[in-house]
Amino acid sequence: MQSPLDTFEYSFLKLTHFFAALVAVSIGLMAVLIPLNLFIIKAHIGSMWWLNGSIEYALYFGVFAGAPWVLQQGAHVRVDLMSSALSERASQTLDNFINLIGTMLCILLWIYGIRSGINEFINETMPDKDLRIANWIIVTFFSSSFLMLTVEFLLRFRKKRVLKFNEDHSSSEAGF
Amino acid sequence: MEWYLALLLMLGTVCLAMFTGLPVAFSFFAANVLGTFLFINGDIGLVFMPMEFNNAINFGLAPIALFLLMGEILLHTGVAFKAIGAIDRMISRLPGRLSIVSIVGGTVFSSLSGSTIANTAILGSVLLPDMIKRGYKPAIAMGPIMAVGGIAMLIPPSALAVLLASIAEQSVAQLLIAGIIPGILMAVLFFGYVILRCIIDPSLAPSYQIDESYLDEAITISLNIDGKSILSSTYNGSAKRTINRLLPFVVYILPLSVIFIVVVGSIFFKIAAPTEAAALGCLAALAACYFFKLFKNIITITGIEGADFTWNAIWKSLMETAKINVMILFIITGSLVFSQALSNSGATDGLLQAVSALNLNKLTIVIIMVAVLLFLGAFMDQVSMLLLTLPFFLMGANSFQVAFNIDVIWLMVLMLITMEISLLTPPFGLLLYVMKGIAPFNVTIGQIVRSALPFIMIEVIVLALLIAAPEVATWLPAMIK
Repeated sequence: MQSPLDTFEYSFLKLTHFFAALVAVSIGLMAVLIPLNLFIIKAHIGSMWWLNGSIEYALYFGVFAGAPWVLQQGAHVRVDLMSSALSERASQTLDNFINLIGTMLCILLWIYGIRSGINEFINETMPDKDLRIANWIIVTFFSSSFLMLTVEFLLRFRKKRVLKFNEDHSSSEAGF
Repeated sequence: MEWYLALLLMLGTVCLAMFTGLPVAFSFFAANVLGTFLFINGDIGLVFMPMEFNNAINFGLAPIALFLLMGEILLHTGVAFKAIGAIDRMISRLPGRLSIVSIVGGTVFSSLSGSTIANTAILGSVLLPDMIKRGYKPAIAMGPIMAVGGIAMLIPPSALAVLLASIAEQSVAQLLIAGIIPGILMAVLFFGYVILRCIIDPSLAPSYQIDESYLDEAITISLNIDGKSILSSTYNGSAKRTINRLLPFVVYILPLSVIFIVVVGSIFFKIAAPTEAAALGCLAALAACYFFKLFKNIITITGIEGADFTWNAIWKSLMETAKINVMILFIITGSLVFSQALSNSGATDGLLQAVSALNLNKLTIVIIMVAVLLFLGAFMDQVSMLLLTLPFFLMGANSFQVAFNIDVIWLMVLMLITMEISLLTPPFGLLLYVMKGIAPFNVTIGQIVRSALPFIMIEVIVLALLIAAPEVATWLPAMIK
């Protein structure tokens, strides 16, 4: 029988995968819409004036929506010189220490994200762009991402995770 | 706070966090929190910091995802493997034949993909088992595969070149074009080295009888609809050997060259901006893959297999691209705020003044910058070393590039080559570990490093040549200014 924490982790996995899928779809849309816009401009039909702004937002939302999933997959680049030189037990202790630092950092950024969001909401600030989304929404997304990252770092303390991630090979699998 | 203490604190925080094993992006975020708190209005600065992350992401970074997507599409549809197979058929009798195939194949794939890792992984998985079976020594089997993998960083489409130019706020188009000649030069030198080495010591790559029985087969072309052949023609004339040798090249390589022409041509002739060229490249890659699918069932030719073009392959390509793109952009967001904090602390300005006081000339400064990058490259991944040094080397009015009036395209090409070298330098040369993952279990990391050494030397020679003769890098981009 699944424990409540297993159920929570499973739901959390689904959520992060859903966001990752959205990021993938946004990249696919970029590949289609950018040439279409180029064609429209070259044919003097008009232009998708909103496209560049939308892509900037898609990249921004994509980065913060996808970051917890990438962490889950163990695909954030890390320099594992120290952990690979240590014994398995010491390496495990170091990993726990890193997860603790990561958790604290993400909690801090989450809190400042909330404070920033409140500040932007009160001041009703808007970006200086063609396509405008209120700054408080942008910052709220940022803080939500760091909340999810906090959860992921905390879940890493679990010995029996629902997800088996391949953290040790991250540096050789991800990159240019 | 004195500038050197600020510098030590900021760089120390990033490096300590990084070497402890905290993911690179989070290491930068940690330094940001500290730097913003200390140097940008304390608590108030931290409240405003999240908005800075939004400003760090801009439209200019879009080609990274698109260039990565091109490579992933070719990888997951299997087209890249077919292309290497076609090159394998083209090259018949040369000393170190399979190593030469890896160099030519790697250079061709570099012009289609922006990923060095994909390049190495494909070449390694296709060619290395055959090399080992044929008795190739590790020294000549693995070195070329790793070395040519790095060329993807120079020859467009290069995701790292886009990243470098975007962050430095320089012309992406010019940098992409500038990488072509050094990239080809490097490939030619690798080619020459392998041939020379195998002539001097033939035991490194024993010659073997290539199975060319397929060359004598009659060529049948059929057009099939609903599994039934409606048109079929067979040729069994005297030119069949030549046709059989060239056919895979015509079917697999020529259509792929359209991708390179679309990307580089549209930038060179100013038809499209780099982002548009990258998106056009993705469509061209999809079109090429769809073209190869025709040869699976609809058009059948003797010896040509066609390729799978499924929605599943496209989806996998998109998800892999999303993963790498998020990872890279997450580091970028962290590092750009880091460079702001560094600038506010007075560290960049202080370092520049200290270096200026030494009265060094431009060349010495460039050599120092390259040496710093080479040192960092031995321990860090490319994105991290780049983002750690850019605030000093290339970004803004207080950078060495501005202060010493260094040609920016030349400097960026040198940085790309340095990063290419760092892919092979131990202990953190990324491609060394990619190769370790592909190579048989009994191959040690020491053997892999030794096999890479001659190629590192060649890359250093090219680097020295470019330092001595900047025109090698600047001539071509000057044409599109």
